[in-house]
Amino acid sequence: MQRYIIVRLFQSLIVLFAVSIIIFGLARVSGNPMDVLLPDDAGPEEFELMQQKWGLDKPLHIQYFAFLGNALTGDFGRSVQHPTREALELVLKRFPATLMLAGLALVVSIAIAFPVGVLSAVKKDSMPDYVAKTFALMGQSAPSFWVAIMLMWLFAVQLNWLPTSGRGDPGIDRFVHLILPALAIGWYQVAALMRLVRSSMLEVLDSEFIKLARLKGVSEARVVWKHALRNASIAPVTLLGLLVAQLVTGTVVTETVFSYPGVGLLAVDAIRNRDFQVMQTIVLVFAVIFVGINLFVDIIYAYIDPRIRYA
Amino acid sequence: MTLSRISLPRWLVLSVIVVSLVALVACGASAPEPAPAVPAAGEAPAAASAAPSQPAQPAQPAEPMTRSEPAAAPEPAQPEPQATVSAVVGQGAIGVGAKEATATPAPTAVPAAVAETPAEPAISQLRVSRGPTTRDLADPIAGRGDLPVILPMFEGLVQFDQYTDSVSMLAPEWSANDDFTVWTFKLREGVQFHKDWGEMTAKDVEHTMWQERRNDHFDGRAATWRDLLREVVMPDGPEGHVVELHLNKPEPIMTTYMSTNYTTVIRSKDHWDANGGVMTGFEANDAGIKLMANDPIGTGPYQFAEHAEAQYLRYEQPAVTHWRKTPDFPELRINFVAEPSTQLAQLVTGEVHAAEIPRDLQVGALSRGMVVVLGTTPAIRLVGFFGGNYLPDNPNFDASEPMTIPLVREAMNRAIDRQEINDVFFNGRAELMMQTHSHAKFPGWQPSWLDTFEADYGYDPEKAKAQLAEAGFPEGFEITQLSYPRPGLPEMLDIAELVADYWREIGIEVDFQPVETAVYSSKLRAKEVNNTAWLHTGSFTEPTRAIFVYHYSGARSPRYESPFFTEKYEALEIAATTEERDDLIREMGENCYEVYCSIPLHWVPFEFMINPEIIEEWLTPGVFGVRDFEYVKAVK
Repeated sequence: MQRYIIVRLFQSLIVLFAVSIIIFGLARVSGNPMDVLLPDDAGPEEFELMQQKWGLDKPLHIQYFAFLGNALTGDFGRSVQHPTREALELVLKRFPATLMLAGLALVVSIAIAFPVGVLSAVKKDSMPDYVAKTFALMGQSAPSFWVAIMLMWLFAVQLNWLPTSGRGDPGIDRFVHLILPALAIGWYQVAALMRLVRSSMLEVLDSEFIKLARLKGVSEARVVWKHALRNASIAPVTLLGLLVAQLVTGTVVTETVFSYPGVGLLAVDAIRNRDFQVMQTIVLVFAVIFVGINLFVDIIYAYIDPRIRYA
Repeated sequence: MTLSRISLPRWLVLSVIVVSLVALVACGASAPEPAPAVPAAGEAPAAASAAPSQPAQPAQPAEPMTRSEPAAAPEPAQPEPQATVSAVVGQGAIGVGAKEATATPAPTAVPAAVAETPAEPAISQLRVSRGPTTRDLADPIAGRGDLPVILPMFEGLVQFDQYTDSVSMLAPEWSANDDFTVWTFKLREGVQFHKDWGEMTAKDVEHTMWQERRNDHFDGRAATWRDLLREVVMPDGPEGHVVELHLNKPEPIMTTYMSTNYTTVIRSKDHWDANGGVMTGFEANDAGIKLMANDPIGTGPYQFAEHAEAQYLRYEQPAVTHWRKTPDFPELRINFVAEPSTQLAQLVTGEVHAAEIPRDLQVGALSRGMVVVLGTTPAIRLVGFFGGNYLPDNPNFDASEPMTIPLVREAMNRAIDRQEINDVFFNGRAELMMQTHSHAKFPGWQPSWLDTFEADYGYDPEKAKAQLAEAGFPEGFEITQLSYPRPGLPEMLDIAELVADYWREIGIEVDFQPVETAVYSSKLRAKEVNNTAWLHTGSFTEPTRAIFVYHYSGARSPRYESPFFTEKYEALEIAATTEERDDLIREMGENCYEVYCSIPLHWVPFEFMINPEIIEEWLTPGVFGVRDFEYVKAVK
């Protein structure tokens, strides 16, 4: 087990190392950030000065190792767009907003996907099933920016029930501002989750123990919601783990449309303004989260199932 | 089984409730943005109580540059504009027409210190939506692109007014010596910094000029200031009201550089000193940089109240009556919204009262009663350039390239139907550009261009084809056209594609390449744009900077260089009279016009939309975006 963990840890570090090279390279192949940040009438002297200030005058490999060395100590440099702030500080400050949005989107996904998935399975090949499947298909097919704009148009502009955008003031106002972006993100996740719930339920509902329960006179609601759903939940709950990571990192478009100040919007701003320090930080932080979650899951699997660690 | 028999399992219900509660608690638990620092009781700076010292007589001004305050100026700061409100053709919207352009920009009479009676609008907070700033700061070093965001709280010695005229602001008088190397500014007395930081005096101007030269300044002027400014002299002492700027070389357009349009806005030295700000040479310490970003203090009609990162900036009225203008709206909130559709939604739902809605989305707001406002001046310069026109001694220069030949450039200009571009993309509201860096409002204008432009540049594809043949390219040639997005002109890529099609029609094979701005800029700086053409936008600025940027070989990324331009620009830099400057600028303009050095297209007015139930009138040039918030007239 110990050897397995060490090997997996080593592999994770290689992945992170590769990600650091890729993001460092991508941040530079798209042009020198100073060409965008400085106005047209900034002369060559100003350009050189800024290059020096941000370390862009050095050879690329020197820049990379300086970046890597600093990153290992938690120093990702200062933001170009927000020069009074550390890049990591900016990212971490925006994280709670994104987590909150992802959390509510997850609630939306669960609250819709499980009941609809169950209903779809119980009413297989009936009108409710077709409607549910169409709803799920639309959620997975429609581009997230389009869904976001349509939700805004319907609930904010036409019905005037909810605010169009922003984060709102602390308290209930903040919660109200979360609803539309959470729905926009959640709908996409609903599709995958609902279809998995449906297929799992269909499988379980056809099993012997369910038939036995019905024969014993257990009520249909109890059969469906207690016995069948509990057994059918294993696969969807496993998927939920993956969805959480997707929700956190998949908020870029939705946060931009709703002008919601989370990490996604920060990423878009950083890309637009060539804030390479922040771009690098966001990607590396996300990579650490993904790799960390995967490592954790691998270790748990190996702990539960010894065949994995000996494979 | 019926739906009524379906009941959720307890664990699912509980999970949803718990997660919802956690989210709700987290929403409420988040700390609000920190309030800006305010001097504690008894901590007020010394200047706040210091009596203003008697100003000394300013130096004898050079005749043509002297501007003095009228003996009596009973009228308010802003002269009543001669704007017209008329229907924009085809859209049924209201457009605020521009004041007639004047041939020479002359600083106008100084506004008197008049405090207007505060108006009583239907709402107290004016809310405006615009795109995100380049830098999320409330610091004047942020750069000119973010100028409108910080202007509500700051003022300069000279202002770039609602018609882009240079008008007195904090300096009622100024003068220059004969060779423009010493500029004397007399400061307005009694102007107070916000939040009890005392009266603005000479030391604040000196402090500002240090700030302007900061190494971390993200504007083109910082390096120029470091090169230009030798010394700031305060003849009446730091608490006096006269400053002299001693320069290393002549600078006849100093008032432009000292204006709000170049973000030369006056900051409080007492505030800086009291909060630990220190300048070592041109390096500001961390405390100072953070202070300017988080707690800016100015003298403007609004004072800084709150900055919610990536969301909004909020301003409020200062405690004291402002010397120049009391805004109709006591509060101002500027929302930063990246997505135009979201700005549109904010406007039509009443969340904001004005927004920078792109032309293609305006119809959605017009149908809900919003109206279009046009800037008072043509704020956006839409031009095209021919790559590869470096100085002949540059190793990358290749005289055999088609676009280095004037006749080819003429043909490519003639291939473009400017009227069609104006009609299709700008609803006919754009103004035809005669020459890249010149405008009737600026020095160096040549009125004859208006008469000859159609004959020299007019749309004539047949003649264009004949000219290509005459130049030795009867079968055309291949070029690359780079295209990249530009702020303020969302139609840029479409216009560029249309221009590519015009060129294809006369036989030029165009490889159209949409690229990132940074990619184009890096190629341009490295002089790797041979056989490449592109469209570009600039702002409505006086010609000296445009010539520097576009044509001077000593600039970072000149578009069209020639020994003629190098020689004339260097002469312009040291020209000591207004007439001499005027002539030099005109000579360069005529040369550019004659050799077809670029592709002059249009001066495009800035457009934004307002809610007419809240806003009665808004006069602004729109250079760099919506601004002049203090002059917004509220519906009473």
